[in-house]
Amino acid sequence: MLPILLGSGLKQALLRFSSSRDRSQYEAKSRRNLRWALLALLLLAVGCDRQSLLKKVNEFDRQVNESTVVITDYYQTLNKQEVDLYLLVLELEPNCRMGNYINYNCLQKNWDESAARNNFTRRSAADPNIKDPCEESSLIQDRDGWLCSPLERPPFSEKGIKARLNLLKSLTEYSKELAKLAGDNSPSKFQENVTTLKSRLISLGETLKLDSTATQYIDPISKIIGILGKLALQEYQWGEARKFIIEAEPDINKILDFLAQDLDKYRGRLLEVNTEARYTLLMNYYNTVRKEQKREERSVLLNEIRESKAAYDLAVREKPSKVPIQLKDIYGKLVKLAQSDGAVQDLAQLNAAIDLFKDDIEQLKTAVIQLLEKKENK
Amino acid sequence: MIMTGITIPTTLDIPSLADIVHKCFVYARDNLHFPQERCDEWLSKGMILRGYLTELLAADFSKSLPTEVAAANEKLKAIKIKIEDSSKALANYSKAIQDLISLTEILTKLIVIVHRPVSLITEGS
Repeated sequence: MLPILLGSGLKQALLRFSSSRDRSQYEAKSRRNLRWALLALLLLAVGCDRQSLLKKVNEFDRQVNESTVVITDYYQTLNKQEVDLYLLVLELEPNCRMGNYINYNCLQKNWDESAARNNFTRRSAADPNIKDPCEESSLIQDRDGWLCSPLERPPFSEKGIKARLNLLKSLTEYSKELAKLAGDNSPSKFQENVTTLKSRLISLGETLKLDSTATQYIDPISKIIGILGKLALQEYQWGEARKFIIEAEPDINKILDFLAQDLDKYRGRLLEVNTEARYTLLMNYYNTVRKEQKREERSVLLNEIRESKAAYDLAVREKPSKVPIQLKDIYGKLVKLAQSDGAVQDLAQLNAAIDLFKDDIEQLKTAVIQLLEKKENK
Repeated sequence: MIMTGITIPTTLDIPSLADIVHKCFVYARDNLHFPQERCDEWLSKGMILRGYLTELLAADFSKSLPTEVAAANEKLKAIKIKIEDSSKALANYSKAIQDLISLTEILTKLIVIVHRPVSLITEGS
């Protein structure tokens, strides 16, 4: 519309000047044309804002999906990595005997396993408080370094892992429904989408109530359900979808903050410690066997040590918690875009945040392959 | 720990314990100051403490911990300061190892606390 109006303005001007008719009549008409042109420009700009926001909501949905895949990998490999490390110790140190228990003092060549075992059994027989290290709720007083093998009892509970995966699922469902809301113009579809999301969140809330660690997610999820309830009563308006994005922000932030802290605490640091343990174990092994090995054998081992050092450096550098932190930043910018009238600079900021995120998520995907999946194939 | 309304259910000083484990591994790789058998010992102590760290983290991962754990954190911090002082660890190796052994004792007590049934926590507090 704008090019037509501008084009017609120019044509009129040429005609008027070429025929030299009344100048004031021309000026009045050209002012009218200019007003139309400005109005068209404004409508076009508003349309752009809405279209940009719709596109960005879809992009946010894609990013949430990519993030949850990466984060899920980090949680799902918690126990597997414990087993990998335990098996590596057994592989490297024949002094360590396999069984339901492990005492890493076996890494010392002069350690007397039978004396340590007798000492533990004698003391545990005398003191009823000294219980089996594999007994989950035992009142263990002193275990002389005896631990339960991760093959016998995986340390991280499936329930705790499931609670976190459910939380991730709630985020993807939220972003998926948000994308549907933003993309659909029919009032009946809008109501349907709101109702679907609401019922999914209610069922998630019920699941989380069963798990004591998950109770803290219930509050933000309940609030989102409340917002959806209000929305479902109203007819579809673009403004309402924008309102939904804005109102859900504090609760989405709470979930993302929780995930960032949780990943830092249970995954980031442990991954660092475990990759450093692997690197140190391999180095120590090399020092023990180097004199008996041929050059080719040493070369293979040294390559493995080099890879383990690279994995350790990667674990120190790439923190999984940066995924929810950046998602929070992007959502904040999406909210700002939804709130603003003249959204050009907000859109630019959002685009910059999305570009940064794309780079970081690619790095993390590589890190996941190197740190977690690679060892699965070993 | 409160962050925009969400409470992380922990009182455990995990970073200090992870720092101690890291230091054990650093000493285990220090072939300039320690002979092989001492590196072996640092490695074995580091691996034991890593096992305890995992166990405590795993307990914290699944349930809220009682506040008694905070008291043990003080001892954990004090040992961390000692272990992190490389000059002391080099000058008095036996003392450093003894500190690690006393740390494992503290940690086993922590494990007792985190594994204690809820009824006993209520009675004890």
